Amino acid sequence: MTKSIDLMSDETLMEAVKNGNLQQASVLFDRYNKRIFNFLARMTMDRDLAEDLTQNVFLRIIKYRGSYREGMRFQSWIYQVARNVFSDHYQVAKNKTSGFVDVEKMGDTIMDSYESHEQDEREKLLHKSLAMLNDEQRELLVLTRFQQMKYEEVAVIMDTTVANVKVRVHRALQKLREHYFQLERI
Amino acid sequence: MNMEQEKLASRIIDYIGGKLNETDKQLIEQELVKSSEAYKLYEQLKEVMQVMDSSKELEPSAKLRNDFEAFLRAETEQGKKSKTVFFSTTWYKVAAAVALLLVGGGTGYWISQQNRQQNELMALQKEIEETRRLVLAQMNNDQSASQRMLGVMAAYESVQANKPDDEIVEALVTSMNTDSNSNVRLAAVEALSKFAAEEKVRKALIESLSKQKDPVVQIALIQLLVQIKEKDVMKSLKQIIDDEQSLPAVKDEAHAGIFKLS
Amino acid sequence: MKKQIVAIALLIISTGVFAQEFKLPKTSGKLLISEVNNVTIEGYDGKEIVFSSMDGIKEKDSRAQGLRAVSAMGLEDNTGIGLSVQDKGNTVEVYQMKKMDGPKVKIMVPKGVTVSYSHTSPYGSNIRFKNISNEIEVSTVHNSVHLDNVTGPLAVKTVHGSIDVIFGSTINNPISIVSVHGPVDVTIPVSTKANLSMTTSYGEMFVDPSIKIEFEDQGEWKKYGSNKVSGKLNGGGLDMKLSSTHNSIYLRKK
Repeated sequence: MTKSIDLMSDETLMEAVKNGNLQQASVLFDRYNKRIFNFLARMTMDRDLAEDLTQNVFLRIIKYRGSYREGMRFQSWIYQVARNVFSDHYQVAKNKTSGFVDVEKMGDTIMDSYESHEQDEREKLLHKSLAMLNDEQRELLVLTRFQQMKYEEVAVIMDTTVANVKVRVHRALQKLREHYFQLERI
Repeated sequence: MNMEQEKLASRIIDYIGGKLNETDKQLIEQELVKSSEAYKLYEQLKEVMQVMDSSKELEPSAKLRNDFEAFLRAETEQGKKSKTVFFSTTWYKVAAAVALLLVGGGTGYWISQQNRQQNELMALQKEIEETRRLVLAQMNNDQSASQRMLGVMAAYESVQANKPDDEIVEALVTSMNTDSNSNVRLAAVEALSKFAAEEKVRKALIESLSKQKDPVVQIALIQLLVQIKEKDVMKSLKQIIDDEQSLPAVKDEAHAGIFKLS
Repeated sequence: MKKQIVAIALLIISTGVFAQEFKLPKTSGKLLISEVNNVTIEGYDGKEIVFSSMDGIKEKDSRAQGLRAVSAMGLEDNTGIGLSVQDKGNTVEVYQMKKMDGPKVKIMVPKGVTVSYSHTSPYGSNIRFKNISNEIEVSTVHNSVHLDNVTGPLAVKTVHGSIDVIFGSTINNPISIVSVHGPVDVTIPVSTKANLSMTTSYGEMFVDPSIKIEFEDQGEWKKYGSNKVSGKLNGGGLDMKLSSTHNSIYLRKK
């Protein structure tokens, strides 16, 4: 029984949710909650906030299930919803732009305690430099490196071309490198 | 960073990602040996990329799931209120079961125990029902043959060989006979072989043989029917041999089938 | 000098005419190609489906001047290259005007569009798919099918033709490749996780020694005598069915 659910595509499950079989949303939750949470945690640099926003993403998926169009790739759709939830949050909190992150505090809020101290230090450095990028650059790196998404998939989510994604990812990587090694010297 | 440097960095990123062809790879490697600046750039880019790639996935707290499930329950409840008709039969059954037990006059504990079992049973049935609906929906996806193929496989997985589910078997027979794509029809034939012990299924397979136009499916059906030693197929095989329209390859298969069955 | 300029100008003009194109903006949905005899379909990073004719300049039928080409199916050549293209929203339907011969066509397809190709007449020649990271359906009677750098899912069937598939670095579930008379030749990454089944009645099966099927026997190009091999690759995973009734199956490593 479980195995046949595994064979169900995200799209079939979402169609079922759209047609009122809400229970299937929990299968989609199982498949995506960690990825969406990680995406938002890396974007907001705040675990608690990321959890709230992840919750919002799934609420929207269910509330607005009617707007899911047949034939649309579910993964692209849920990431588009997540991007909207993220940008809406910072629209509402107007004086708080996402660019403003307390770099010192952030390093601690996002990470669990790691076993390896060295890795821990490097990750702290990484997150500080990530915080210095703009939202778009951070997003590109989160999707392509942390989430190992292909340029093709990112292009669909961001509604642009693969070539464009590649150029922008490369620029973002170089920016990140600059920040990272500047911070390291401090 | 100037244009030249940006270009170089971009090639280095592709190099680290293993995305360069042999020629470009060699060019970059030469550059790295020649220029200490390029090598430094390479080391630094490699480090940030590695830190990102090795960065651990964060775990959301249990609260996320709990809240989600609570929300889903609330939303489902609301759906029930607005669509009472849809669920009324289910609730009627629960109520009827409880009433029956009450009349039976058992102890409270016994009732609640039975009640729970009944509920569990119904939850299980509901799950089976829902899975079946999903499987059937996926088998009817008119946009994608591969989705229908996965649907056929899911149908195959969802039922045990000794307990074929009428609705699933019927859906498989429909796919075998009417799906527009040969690969899907072929998958349906293969899935049905699991229930070949059933008289009904064997009959459906024989009937299908005269309906199929695609030699690919005809051959697969003949092979299956021969393998399950279904002698009733002899007549159909002879028809195929006599039919001028039949492809020689299908006739060959029919001849071989008759030989093996007699 | 003057002659040279004229020659260059002629060259430019002729190549200009050479690449006749018809474009249709589309980034998702399904492209249904029917009865197109000779076609190359290529995935690319763009936002429109581009149809082009690979033929040189053809002599115009002077009698047809001022008339429009119509076919028995009531189709019209609305592309200028011998194809009828109809945009039906979520699907785009493409038919060839002439039953025999017809243009040599190249179709560039954006990444989000899935392709379904079908062909039944005996006039088909080769069809090629290249660089497509999306679902492909092919159903044909006479054509040989070549797929290069594709990911699947694949549902490919031909009766008389051969099928050659070279997969890209990833493969998507499910894969079903079937021919009655032609060889089936498939190249996969060694690391592919799959539940593999290969069937042939009268042909043979050959597998690269570095592809480990959970199955006994060793040696250069293992040769399986019986008519069905099924087993797991790398512990199992996606569903991969290869079948050729009268010819052989080749499974190669990338």
